[in-house]
Amino acid sequence: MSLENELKQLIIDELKLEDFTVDDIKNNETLFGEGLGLDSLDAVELVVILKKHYKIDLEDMEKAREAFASIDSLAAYIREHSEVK
Amino acid sequence: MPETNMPAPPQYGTRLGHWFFYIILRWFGPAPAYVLLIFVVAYYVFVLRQPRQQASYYLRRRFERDGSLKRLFRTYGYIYHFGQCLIDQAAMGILGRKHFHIDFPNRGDLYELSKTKKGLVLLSSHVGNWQTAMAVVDDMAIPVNFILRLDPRSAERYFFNLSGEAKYINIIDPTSFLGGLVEATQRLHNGECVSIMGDRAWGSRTEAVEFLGAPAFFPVTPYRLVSSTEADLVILLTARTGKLAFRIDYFHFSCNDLDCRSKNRAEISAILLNKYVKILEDYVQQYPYMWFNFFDFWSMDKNQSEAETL
Repeated sequence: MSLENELKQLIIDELKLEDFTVDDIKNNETLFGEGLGLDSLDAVELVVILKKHYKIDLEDMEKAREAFASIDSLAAYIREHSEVK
Repeated sequence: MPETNMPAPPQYGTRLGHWFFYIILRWFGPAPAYVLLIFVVAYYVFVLRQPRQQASYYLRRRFERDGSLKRLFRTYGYIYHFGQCLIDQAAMGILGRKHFHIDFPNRGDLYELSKTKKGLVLLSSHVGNWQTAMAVVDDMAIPVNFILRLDPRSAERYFFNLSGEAKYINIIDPTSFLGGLVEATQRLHNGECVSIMGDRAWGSRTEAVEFLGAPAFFPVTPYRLVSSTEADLVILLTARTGKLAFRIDYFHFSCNDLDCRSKNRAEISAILLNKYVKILEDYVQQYPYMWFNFFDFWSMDKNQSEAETL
């Protein structure tokens, strides 16, 4: 499974997006607000996912803002900051 | 989301009025400021309509049998207590904490808890002089991150800007990226403390819980932070017990106590929220003039639409 699809599955599972499948989430879709429609509480879970599954800390909030834009940007951030390729 | 739907807190006083109180506090101390307050509050309560309206959301629930005249005088007492706490709050920053007597029996417990570096959510409320409770940050072994919006006109700016006594304070702006919750979560992962208000929704998700006889809307953010990161939760409530004297009550909940492993995050959040609201309700029964929240918790939609017009 690609990192992008793995992320989508984690988001669906951890955020309890029961009506969604991996195919429903586009790689370039905006995660927060319009698009997938996540909110700030979902961001808490997303930070936990990054820590728990990829051992990634988010110390720079400007970079976090860019990373949290879409699945594509999140996957790119993970590749840059962990061993996952 | 918080950044798009955030109600503005009510503001009392002009810049000139704040400056005047500041000068009195710095030159003469709090006592003459309390005297001046008698007249200032009379103006706000008996001349202006908005303060009476904002106070009534709470007072009509807490004292539901009051007639209109009794409620008017109760509103005066309530806003006078609020003014006293604002003066104390500013005085603490201007004069320093050594002028205050703070009775905090659990000071050592909080310090020991902070040393575990498991992450700590410090839940405060708009009770008493809540900044007094925040003065305990000096007793903690970890940095403390306050999720709050510092208004340049508010008295609390003196506490945060001028005290200079706390070494490890960081402010997280709730209007920043995703309500500051990405940063807050990361800080908890780092084993730090995140301080947040339990009785101000800031437009974020709320849950209705029975409070003073009817469902009221409380934010779920503090409890989601706890349940997601498995941080400890400490609730601090301050009461003004006399001239420059305060008492801080302490309530601690940990994942071990709640058996987190056998519950999902939503269940843990709900348990903690209900515990908090029960503690707050007991508090306002004991200290009816010490909960300073001027929003209509019992009608959030109305609350937000009104706030937008303030």
